Amino acid sequence: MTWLTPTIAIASAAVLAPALVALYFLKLKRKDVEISTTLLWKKAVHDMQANAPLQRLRRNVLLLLQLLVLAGGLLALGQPEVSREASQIARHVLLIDTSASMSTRDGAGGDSRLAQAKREADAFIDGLREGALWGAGKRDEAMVIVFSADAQVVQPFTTNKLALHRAIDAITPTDAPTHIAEALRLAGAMTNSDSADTIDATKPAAAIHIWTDGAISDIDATQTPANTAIIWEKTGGESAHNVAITAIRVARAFDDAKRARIFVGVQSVGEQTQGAMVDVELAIDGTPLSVQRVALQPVASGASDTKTANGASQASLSGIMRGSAVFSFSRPTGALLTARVLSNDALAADDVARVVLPPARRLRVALVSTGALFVRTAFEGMNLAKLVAFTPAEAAQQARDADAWSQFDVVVLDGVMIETDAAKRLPPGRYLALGVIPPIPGLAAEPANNVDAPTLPIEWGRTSALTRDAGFERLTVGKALGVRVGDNVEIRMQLEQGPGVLRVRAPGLDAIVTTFAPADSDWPFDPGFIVFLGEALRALGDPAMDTAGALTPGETIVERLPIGASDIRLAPLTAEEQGDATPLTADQSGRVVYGPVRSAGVYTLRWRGEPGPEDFVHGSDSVRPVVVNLLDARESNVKPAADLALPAASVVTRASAADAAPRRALWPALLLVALGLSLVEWWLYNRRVAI
Amino acid sequence: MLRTPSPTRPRSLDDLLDAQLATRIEGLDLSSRKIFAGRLKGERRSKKRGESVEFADHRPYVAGDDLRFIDWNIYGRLDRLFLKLFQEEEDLSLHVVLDASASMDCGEPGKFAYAQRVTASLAYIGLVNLNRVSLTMLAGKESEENAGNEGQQAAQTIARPTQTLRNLRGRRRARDMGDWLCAAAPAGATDFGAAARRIALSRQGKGVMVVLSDFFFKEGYETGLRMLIGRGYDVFCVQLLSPQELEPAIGGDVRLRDIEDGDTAEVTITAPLLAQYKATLGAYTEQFRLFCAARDIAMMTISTATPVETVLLEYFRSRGLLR
Repeated sequence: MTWLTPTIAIASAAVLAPALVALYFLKLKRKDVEISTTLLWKKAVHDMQANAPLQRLRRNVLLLLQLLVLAGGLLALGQPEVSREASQIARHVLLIDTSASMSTRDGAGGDSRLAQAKREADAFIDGLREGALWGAGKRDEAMVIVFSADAQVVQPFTTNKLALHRAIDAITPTDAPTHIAEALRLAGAMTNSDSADTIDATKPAAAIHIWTDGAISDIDATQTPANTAIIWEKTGGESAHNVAITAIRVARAFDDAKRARIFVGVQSVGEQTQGAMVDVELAIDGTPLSVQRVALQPVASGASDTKTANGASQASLSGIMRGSAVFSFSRPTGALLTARVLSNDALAADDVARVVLPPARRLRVALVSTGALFVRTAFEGMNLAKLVAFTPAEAAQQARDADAWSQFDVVVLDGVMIETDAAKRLPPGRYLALGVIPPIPGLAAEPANNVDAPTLPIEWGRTSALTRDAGFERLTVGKALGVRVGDNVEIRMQLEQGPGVLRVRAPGLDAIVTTFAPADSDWPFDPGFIVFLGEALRALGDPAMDTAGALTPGETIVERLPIGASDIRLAPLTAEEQGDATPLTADQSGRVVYGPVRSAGVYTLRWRGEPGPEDFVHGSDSVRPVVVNLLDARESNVKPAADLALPAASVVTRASAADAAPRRALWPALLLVALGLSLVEWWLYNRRVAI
Repeated sequence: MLRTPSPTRPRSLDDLLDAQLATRIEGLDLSSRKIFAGRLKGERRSKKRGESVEFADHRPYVAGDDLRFIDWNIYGRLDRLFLKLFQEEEDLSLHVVLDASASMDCGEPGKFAYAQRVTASLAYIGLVNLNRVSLTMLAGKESEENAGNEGQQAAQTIARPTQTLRNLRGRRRARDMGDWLCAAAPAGATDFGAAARRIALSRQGKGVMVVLSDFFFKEGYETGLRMLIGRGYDVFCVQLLSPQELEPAIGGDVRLRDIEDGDTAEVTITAPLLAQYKATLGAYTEQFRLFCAARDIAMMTISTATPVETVLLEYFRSRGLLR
């Protein structure tokens, strides 16, 4: 126990205690009552005193109680407080998870986890030391960081509790996934303890309090700051039940462009029985088309396709049931498709997923090759709008005319490069590069790592449409190119010695690259080769159809509008009618950027000017819907994690908000005791004088 | 216990004794456990042989006897002179002593007003039955509104130790008795011993004496009562207590001031103290009762909340004061 203002208490005691005793013994102001005789009363008083030897003492019980009341008040004046061991830390970083799973309403009275976390954080802030009422005392500092897909400091270090409360009040939920790495980096940077060299010994070590339910996707990629205590203020109840759409994908049929199929993946977490059913509704442009009843099957934890870092996370995913629905319909025009699970569950954000079905169209493909047989034959067999074959020289010629070049949806580089200008950059466009490393930022050939011996694929995305049915399990590659990849490159298939299939995105460029030529492998003889080419064309040519490329909350909307678009507005679909739109400005290439978006839903980009080939026209405006879906199995798994397994850090888990307060001021309790004692004293006095 | 805030003083006999009560008590008569010699012929059988019509005995004639009472029939038969003796009937002396000290001016109903009513009733019964009635007031003063003349005003507030109204007889003196009673107001302190001594010395003859008081005498009641019984009175002590004295309804820190001598007691009245007070009162009364019993004094304690009628018709009859 520490005393913040002991001297004041002692000084007051020195004055007040004698004063109270003196006051007690001062003559009481008595009421005069005339009676017939005092004879009997005097006798009675005398008898009583004679019969009760402790009478004098008993009369002084009131004085004793009054002294106790005074003692209580004086002790309160000294502002004692008991503190926990962690309270030696004077700096606290409050990390509050605002991701989608924190919107789960499983708290008391239907409160969301975020509301619960905010409440606990408020209580924690109330418990921070604020120094003594009089004079200086130790003060605790705190800062508030919110994190979901990214992290943001909403209140830097301050001792001002009001500012901290305001910052916490202003926190709003998002539908974004949970990435904690950036938040911890930020916390580490702010506490000045992210590396041993920069530790300022004069500053107290910091404690990081994380309010999260533990559904964190980058937990294994997280570095925890040194010299900090990490306390997980566990949020969320075990009983939450949630049904979510975790995947949505729409595709038009190869052979009939009017026909479309939509696949909806459903996940259910929480109390449920074997063979549970859930209804999935599909709506086209807001009009319900049909409802399917989906049977859910339990998923063994090992079969979970979510990339889990460790056993603990996997265990937390057990108890999950999954199912899927496939809707088929015929619609030549574009549409906004909305899938919805009809379930009353704890998390609403993931009950709906939307996808834009572009108008039916066939692709225009440019094939740049030296006349290789396999690739050309494969494309000729596809139902394409146009297939033009160029030699590299012709292609270079063609590429100089940007308009002519942009008429091709996809350019296939079959083992050759376009001979471009000295800058050696590809013209903007979408490329499928087979056996050649195109000059795209983030991608560089490394001839030293070329592989000449036969090699096998070892890992590829088994759920991605691009690689799922590509026949990699039967593939043998004879020669492959060495490549160094940057941050903007996704490895879709890994060979034994290096990447096999890559997806590269760069400004103005979108490419799928294989590091080996089909002719250098047995791939052309496998049906998977044709499937791969078809899916690659679809992924590149119809990006909206590939849900892997769809936006999730927390990402930034980047769209390229036709040149000349003006009066560009972006608004959530629901807010559009209210004119609640954000004006955007396109750069020279017609690109508009907005974000990051915090909530799932449909955003509409409207502009005056020509529509793109896949855009809608609404009145005088061109409209492009941008879909933001949660589609995150981990966020939809509302069962809180058992522990927060941050690497290289020991995490203290606290499940109760009551434990969070770093110190407890005792003066309110002391004042309460004093008040109670004064009530007892009053009661005793009244009982004594009662007739 | 508490001083009666604004006591209502009776203005005439009718206030003290209403017609209904008077009618009911007219049939009563005083009685005494002892038979006393009266001074006048009355309606009471005496131990003396006297002049009534009821024959009692004969005795031989001695010189000087009234010749009218010689039984001539016996003289004719026996040739000896005998006197006829007849039962003598005497009056009874009733002496009511009324405590008019300030302490009687307390309680609700007020003890003094109550004592006035009881006195009036007893005196009325005595007068109606042709007994000699004397009234004595201890201390007290003449109340202002009944003051006879202005010259006495200076003396009004001065308490007089005793004042007596002697030897009333017959119904027509009831008015005088009423006026005398109504003129009184309680004031001052009583020295009961001295007053009793004075009464005892001034008293001629014997009779029934009723003492109405609260008997809260700091110097004690013993000396006074001894004086009274020493002269052969048949003494009835009626201790009047107000309900507030029996069940006090005060509490808290108070300064109790004695209404008679100004003595103060600073007490914190609590439930235990109240219980102790009641015990003390009970003990005091019991001690008084034992004192009276040992000396053949009839004693009763009456709450002023008891109707006067009940006291007269039940209590006094059961104790033999009235019949």
